[in-house]
Amino acid sequence: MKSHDLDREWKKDAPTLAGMQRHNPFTVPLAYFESLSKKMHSNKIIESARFKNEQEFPIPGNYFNELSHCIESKIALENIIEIQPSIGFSLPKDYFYELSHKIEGKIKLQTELKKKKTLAFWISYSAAACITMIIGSVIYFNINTHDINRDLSNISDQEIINYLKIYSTVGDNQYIIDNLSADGLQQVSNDIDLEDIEQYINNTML
Amino acid sequence: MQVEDSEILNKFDQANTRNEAFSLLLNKYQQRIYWHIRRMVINHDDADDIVQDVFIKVWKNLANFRSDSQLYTWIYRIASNECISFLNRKKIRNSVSLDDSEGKYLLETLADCPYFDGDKAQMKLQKALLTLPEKQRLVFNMKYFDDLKYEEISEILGTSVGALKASFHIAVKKIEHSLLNSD
Repeated sequence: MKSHDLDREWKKDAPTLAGMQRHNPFTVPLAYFESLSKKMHSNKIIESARFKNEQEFPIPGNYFNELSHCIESKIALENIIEIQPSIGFSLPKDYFYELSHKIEGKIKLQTELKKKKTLAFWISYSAAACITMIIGSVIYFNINTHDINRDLSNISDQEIINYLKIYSTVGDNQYIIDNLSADGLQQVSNDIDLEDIEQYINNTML
Repeated sequence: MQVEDSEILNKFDQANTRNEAFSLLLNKYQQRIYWHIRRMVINHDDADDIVQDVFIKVWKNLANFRSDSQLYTWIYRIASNECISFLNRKKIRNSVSLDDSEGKYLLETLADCPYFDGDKAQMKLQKALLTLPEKQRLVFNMKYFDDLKYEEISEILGTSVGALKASFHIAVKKIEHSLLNSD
């Protein structure tokens, strides 16, 4: 499309803009451009003087070449300091990413094992406590159980008879009669007179 | 009679005529470059600072100028870059990140501008222009006010001619819309 065709086209699309006069509405202070030229010449002189001054300061020969080498060396050194931990060593790809995963996995596993160990500890100690309690109870009851027959066998018949003579009551008679053997009864009847027996009965029955 | 760029460059190459070459260059381009900058930054004092910086850069770098591009497109490029840098600095200084807010800042500058003698219609046009993104505004200004060819603008901004045509067309439509819808 030719330029004037394009102009015609935008004028068709924007009739208000096309109808406006192309006028520069901005102004400048009086004699601005004359003063601008003077200012520019002054600036140019200042800039030139600045360049000259820079040239007047002597610098060692080959300074700028050495300066760039020096800066590059310092930058390289800075980079080395930043990556220092890996100097001379290489690492598998994504090592640190995997390492953190590994460590986290191990911590999790150890936590679970610790929980299991704590439970097993309490179970074993509870079982030991139960066994100890049972054995203790058995021993205690064994110690405190009295075998009347065994105890009485250690005491002589005469002592028992003496005891009964002093402490027996009416209720004891039936018990004694029940436990006397036929030989015992015969022995009792032979040893004791009928009168004594009668007197005893009379005394104790009252 | 205007001096040819080639003559300015030849004079600048020789130490004894360097100052003369720079005077010729200033006389030839200072007003065009000033207005290009002024339309972008609106404020005269800002434009004055920027135009001086631009010509100092021209002075310092003209010895390295390669004549594979035209002298005035090269100066325009320096001026355009300086304008964009200035507006970006303004944005940062005012903690402004959006183009709309930059437009607001420039609208305030336009409203307070002592060196403006346009009528109501001109003010409306300038306000409409300030609603455009800065690069689109650059394209519109160079085409509409400076009457540069798309090929020249392409050389200045490093953008393809097709993209520039599209950009200008969009800008025109936006401005027309603004003109019709503003008070």
